[in-house]
Amino acid sequence: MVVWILTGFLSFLFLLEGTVLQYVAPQAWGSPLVWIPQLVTSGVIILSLYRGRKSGMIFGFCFGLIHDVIYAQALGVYAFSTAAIGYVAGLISRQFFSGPLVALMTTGVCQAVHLLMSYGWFRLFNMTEMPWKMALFYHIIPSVLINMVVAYPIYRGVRWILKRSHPHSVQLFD
Amino acid sequence: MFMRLFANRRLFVTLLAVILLVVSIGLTRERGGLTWAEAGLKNAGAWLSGWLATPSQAVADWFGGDVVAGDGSESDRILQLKAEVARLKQENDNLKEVAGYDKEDKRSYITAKTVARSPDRWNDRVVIDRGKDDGVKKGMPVITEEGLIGRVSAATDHMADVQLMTDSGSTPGIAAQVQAKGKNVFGLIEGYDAKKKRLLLKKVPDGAELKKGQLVVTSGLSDLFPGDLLIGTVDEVTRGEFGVDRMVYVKPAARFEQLHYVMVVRDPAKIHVEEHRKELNKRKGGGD
Repeated sequence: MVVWILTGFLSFLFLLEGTVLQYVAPQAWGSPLVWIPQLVTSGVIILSLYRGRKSGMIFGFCFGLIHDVIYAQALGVYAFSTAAIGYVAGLISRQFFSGPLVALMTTGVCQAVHLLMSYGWFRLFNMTEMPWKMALFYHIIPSVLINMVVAYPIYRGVRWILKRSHPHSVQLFD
Repeated sequence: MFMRLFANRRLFVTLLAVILLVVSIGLTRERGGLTWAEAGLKNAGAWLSGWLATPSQAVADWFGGDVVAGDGSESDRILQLKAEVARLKQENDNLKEVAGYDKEDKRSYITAKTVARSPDRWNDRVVIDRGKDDGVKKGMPVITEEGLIGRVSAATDHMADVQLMTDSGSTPGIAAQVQAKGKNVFGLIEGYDAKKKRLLLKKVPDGAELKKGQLVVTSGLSDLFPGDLLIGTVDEVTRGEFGVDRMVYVKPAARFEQLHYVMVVRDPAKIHVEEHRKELNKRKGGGD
């Protein structure tokens, strides 16, 4: 049951990425800085912190694949990257003392790795010809910062969903 | 024997995943059609996004993100677009009558709403809510009322993907010509300079007299694109990468920041050419 609620929540975030946020993001108003909204990735990272790396990997793979089918020109880049990030986030959560600060830092680091990884694959397969400096300073760094801020409501959302279904099991990241 | 290979399972799985990724990208990029599963998912995505797109576009308009001057309300813009289409059709008819063209080969425009845009800007694509059922085909040019914005990169029955000219990937060039004094100068639109916000017109012959402000339009000689769609104006001329040609920075006429309504250009003449070529390929048995 809780899996379906989470799926619905992440699907909603996925739809927001391509529609509403495309009119909010700075690039829609002529700014050279680009925010790549990655709400689903934030969701997968936070979910992985709570539910473990395997769950994170499966959710990451499914939503990455949906992203690939709908927006990308070749299948696989996001399916791989998001799944890997889900797994890594789960690993990190086991290594450190858990808390909201760790959750925030994990989200930031994983977002950065995810963006770098997807850019790297795109560049490798010549699906983009953007120079790396431009990609890093105008696309990746602003995106990571804004995504970290936006991750907070997602964190609350995921926590609320998990708490509602398992009232006693979630005490990790309070 | 084999158990030792599986002993380090994590490494094994990672390697396998990377190999699968490479194979998957190799197989799925640059292919002709879509499988039914992908088409279904794309249709569902476009349909759901459509619900969110309309209110967010209205709000963006209200905040002044409107592309066209006017009071900015949605119905006003639709009227404006309709007027524009009617005017263009009228003009087109008149010109064709003068040139003695066939009535059959009349261009038509399919107006579509954009429902979503790819979140990352490495792949700059928009999803529109018209598909094969409405006559959209892969490869057709897409314009706004200001100028050319891109081409259809994939189409299902109910939606289509538009690859914008600002896409940073390697795209097949668009044949273009600069309307210089007395004669037309040909070149290929290949790529986009995101920092300068200029399209790159490459392989322009040396010696052509190009001046800032001259119009750049699509070339009618192309097999795919109808001619005389406005792309932009000449901004700056530099030496090309081969040393014997020139590269022109073209200031795009259309704005790419917020795309609400777009038009797919349907040119029967080019469709006939395409069908004819397919027929020839089939007869030869060589093509796919």
